[in-house]
Amino acid sequence: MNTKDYSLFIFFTFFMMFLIFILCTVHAFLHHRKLCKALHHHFKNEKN
Amino acid sequence: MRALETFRRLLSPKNFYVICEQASSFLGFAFIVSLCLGLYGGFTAPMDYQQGQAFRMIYVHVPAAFLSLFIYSCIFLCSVIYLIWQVKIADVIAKLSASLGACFTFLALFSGALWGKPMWGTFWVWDARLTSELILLFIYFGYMGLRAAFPNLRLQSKIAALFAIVGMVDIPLVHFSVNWWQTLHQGATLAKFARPSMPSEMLWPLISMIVACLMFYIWMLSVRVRGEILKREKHTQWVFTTICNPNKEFA
Repeated sequence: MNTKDYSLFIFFTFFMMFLIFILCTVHAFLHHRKLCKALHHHFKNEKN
Repeated sequence: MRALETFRRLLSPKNFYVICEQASSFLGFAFIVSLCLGLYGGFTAPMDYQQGQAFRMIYVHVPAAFLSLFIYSCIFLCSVIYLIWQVKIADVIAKLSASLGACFTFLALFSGALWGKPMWGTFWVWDARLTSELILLFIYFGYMGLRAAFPNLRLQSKIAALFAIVGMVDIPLVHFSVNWWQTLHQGATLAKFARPSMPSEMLWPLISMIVACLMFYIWMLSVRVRGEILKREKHTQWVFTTICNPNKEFA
């Protein structure tokens, strides 16, 4: 059996997965919110 | 004919927006549950008799590689649907899938490199599987770049769809490269369900992680598609009603 310590490799693999999950989620929700805000102001200005 | 009409109505931007809004929280929940199950199973599974603890990287690498191919296949399918039936939603899905696909392709290459070092003694070899996966990443970049290069939406969608159809050539190359050529990369593990090459205590966390990544993709798509629909349909009455709904506070 391969008994060498590869914990750093395992850590970075899982770390990168979580980083991608978190960044994608934050980007998607922030972008959606920003867009909704912009549209809201656009419609408000149009009404005025 | 009636079924086709119902399908078309279901894929109208307004109905699709509502479906995405309702499915979003369920998809997020399904993602969290399957991720927790997969991680628990992955870290409690027994060690591999040859690879030791390093085999646990399979729970990131295989789902990422699977998603990289799956997402591109979705882009291809949506591009064909867009070119034939001009379904707007198909174009929106294809557009927003590209960056997610690129993320998963990058993750597959990154985790593969980290797994390659302890197993093969090197981070990278110009092996058929690795090279075709790298080409897939470049195809994703090319697709996104091509979309960004054309300001006209109709032209952008058509050219991107044609590019995606041509780029599909790489998908069977990635999948079958381990069978067609002599490669350092091992052959298929998951495709052999008839004769599994993994014990069940290692296999179920892997399936759970694949489901988690799939749920994540669909969840992110459901959030991003809503924004894109609002942007494209901002001149319609229903977008005005949705955005100016007093129950929703965006200001």
